[in-house]
Amino acid sequence: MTLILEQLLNGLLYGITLFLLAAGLTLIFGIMGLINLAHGSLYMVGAFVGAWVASQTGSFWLGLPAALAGAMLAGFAIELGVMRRLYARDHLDQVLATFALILIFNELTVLLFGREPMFVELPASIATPIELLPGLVYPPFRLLIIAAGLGVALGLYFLINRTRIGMLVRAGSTNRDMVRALGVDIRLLYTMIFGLGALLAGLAGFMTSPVLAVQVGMGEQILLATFVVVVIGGVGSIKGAFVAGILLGIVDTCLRAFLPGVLREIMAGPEADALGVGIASMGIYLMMGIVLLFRPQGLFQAGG
Amino acid sequence: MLKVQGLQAAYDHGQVLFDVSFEVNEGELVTLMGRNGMGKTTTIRAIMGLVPPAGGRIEIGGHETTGFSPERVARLGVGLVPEGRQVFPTLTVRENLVATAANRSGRSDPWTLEKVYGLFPRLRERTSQIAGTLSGGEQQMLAVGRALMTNPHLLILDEATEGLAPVIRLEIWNCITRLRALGQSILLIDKNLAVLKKLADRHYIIEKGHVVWSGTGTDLTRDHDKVHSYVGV
Amino acid sequence: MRQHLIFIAAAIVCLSVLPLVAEATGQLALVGLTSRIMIYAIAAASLNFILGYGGMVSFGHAAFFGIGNYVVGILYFHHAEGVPLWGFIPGSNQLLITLPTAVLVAGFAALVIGSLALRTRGVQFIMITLAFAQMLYFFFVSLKTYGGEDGVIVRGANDLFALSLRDKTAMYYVILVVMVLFFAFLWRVVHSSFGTVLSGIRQNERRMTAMGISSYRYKLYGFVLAGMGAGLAGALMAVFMRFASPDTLHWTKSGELLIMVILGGVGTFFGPILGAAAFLILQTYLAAWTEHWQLAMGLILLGIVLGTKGGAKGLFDSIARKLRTEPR
Repeated sequence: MTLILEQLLNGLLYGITLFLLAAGLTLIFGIMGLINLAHGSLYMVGAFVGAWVASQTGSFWLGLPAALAGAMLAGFAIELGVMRRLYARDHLDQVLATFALILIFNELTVLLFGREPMFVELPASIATPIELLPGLVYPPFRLLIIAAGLGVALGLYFLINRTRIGMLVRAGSTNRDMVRALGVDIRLLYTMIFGLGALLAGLAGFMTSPVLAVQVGMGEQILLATFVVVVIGGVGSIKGAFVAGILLGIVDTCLRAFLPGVLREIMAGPEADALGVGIASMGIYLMMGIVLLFRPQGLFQAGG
Repeated sequence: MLKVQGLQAAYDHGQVLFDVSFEVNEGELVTLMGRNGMGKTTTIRAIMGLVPPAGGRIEIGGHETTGFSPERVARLGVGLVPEGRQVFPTLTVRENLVATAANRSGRSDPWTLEKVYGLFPRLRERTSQIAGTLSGGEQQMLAVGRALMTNPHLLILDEATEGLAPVIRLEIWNCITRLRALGQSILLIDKNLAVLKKLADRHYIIEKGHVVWSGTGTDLTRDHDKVHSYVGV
Repeated sequence: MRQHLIFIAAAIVCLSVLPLVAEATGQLALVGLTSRIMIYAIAAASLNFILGYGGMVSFGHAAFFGIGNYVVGILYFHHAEGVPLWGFIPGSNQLLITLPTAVLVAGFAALVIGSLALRTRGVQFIMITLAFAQMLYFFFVSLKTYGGEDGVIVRGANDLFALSLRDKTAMYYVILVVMVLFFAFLWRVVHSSFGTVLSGIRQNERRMTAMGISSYRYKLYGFVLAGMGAGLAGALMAVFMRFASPDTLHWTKSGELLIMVILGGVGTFFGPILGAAAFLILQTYLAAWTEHWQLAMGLILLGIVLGTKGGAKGLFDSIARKLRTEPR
């Protein structure tokens, strides 16, 4: 029982990470109509900058503002230098240009930090597992991430649904031209949205750096899962990103944790493991296929 | 207020506007008429900067605005009520009105939420309703209110009564009459000759991307037959 | 058209004598490079078909390339081990069996994936094709029997009748013939009524639907054809490299194919060949220059996408146009 609870918590953790990335991505897709493959690179930048500052200063917590700042700066640089020219272009050009950005970011990271993965030291106070329930031990750091993620979700909800900026974001995701025709400088809105997305990505990168390895290419691995979250949740919907993110996080984690064990009942050891991992990896994509059969536009509508 | 000279515009599939010239003066209600596909909406889109003009000149409030982006045009004081209403479907009525509201010219007695609700009491009743669930007529009123909330010098209404029941149409005409009485400059695109004759100061007729006739209400009656050949029904 | 035919004939002649020239000048690596260019030209052309003519931006084309790749690998594995697949399908190393099988399996996969993915469009379609391709990548990597991440070694290549294709030169000519046949077939398809409808759907889907044409079905057929083309290329690659690798399924491979298409000019018939050549030559020389060649590649690619409209061919076209219309 405690094993299941533990995996559920891990799933929630992964789901929150996915949500942070998907929220930015879905806004960028939904409002700006822009495909940004380099979103994962911003995640990576956050992780690397944060990890580097943390290791240089010896303080884990100093890494946080560094990660956010680094990701935002990178985000603004991309927006000014590349994205602005892509708004009017078709999707293919956007795919290729942002794919080129991935190559550039990855190699720049290798140049700056080398190919070895970086590791982040957690302060002992939040690293040592505590007992939540009898038999269930869990590191407080992970609980912190979950709490932070939920806090961000709440904050985003407030921003999108209760502020004027949020209204414009929601309006823009359904009718960009009309928002412009009513006098709103959409490009400023775009820059802000992109910056917000970069911030969230950087936060996600830094937060999960103690859990996953900080290495080149980490952005692309999680980006694909993020895409699935966006598709299932519905392009342009933050609510969708949240629901789909949590759902996927839990399903993926539980499949990976339990499927090999289940398969081992019917197959030989190492093959069961490999197949289990393989099918578990496919899990979220299969989910996407099922959702697409019944609701091609995703679970929620844009602007929600 | 608005001056359009020799406007040309084209889409991918060909040129739509060849030579459109007209003007709207302060406080006037001017109409742009013509059958479907003659270039009325394209003219509006060119004025608003949603379609780049291929030639000609547009002036708003004395400033040249040819080729300006939509937000710049809107900020110079143009309020658009577009064809098809185009309310923001996922926002509530109140949010639709408030999201893009502005008072850029610093008017002393600007349009407020209260005043718009006064003009359209039905909207007040539905203030928290999601705009996508409103009826056609309600959405039209919302679209007008939304444009008014930007306190425009010039209000442009593109086919504001299309597809609406006669009762609702009457309400919209009444509102437009009231707005005119308040001194609002208005450019109106519509096909309802009979109503427009009583309502407007001057009329233009567009056919195949050219202005083929212009005049006042009395001129309309005088050239009745010719006008009918252009506007059809 | 006359101009085109002369140029094509000249190109085929050049390609035919290339191995002889290479041997004479000692540039043996050229044969290998050109073989890979021709294989990728087929794959890129199949992607260009749905992208440039059909308007479908697929970021998962590597899926079909990889499937073709693995079909050859798996069939060889079972042939070498002597154990039939699933107990009844015998292995094979005969090209005339493995190639068509690869094409059919890839086409079937394209049918399944396409039928789901084509229910969406735009941003979603791109992400979905990407996701499905990656899903296949994970699946094949998990198959320990077929080497997992290491892939399948096709030690003895394939045989064409009695001829062993282990010999690089023999394989080169096989690839050349297949490529010519493929492009001839593609020419027929593009200029057929099917091809015209597909182009029409790309330009104005609404009009096509109003005319009673089921755009979904046409796009699906196109998608399947493209998948088969990519499968063909992947199969050839497995025989040529004597190796079936999961890298052929990775999303970065899809990205490479897209790069080739845009470098050569989207929607042009011969563009993919130019694009494949440009990309592979660029990659070879950049990699020889620096280990950080991906950075240079990325910058060049970015420059091309932002700077031009229409890829390398568009660039050439606009230069040619400028030269032709010199002011007096």
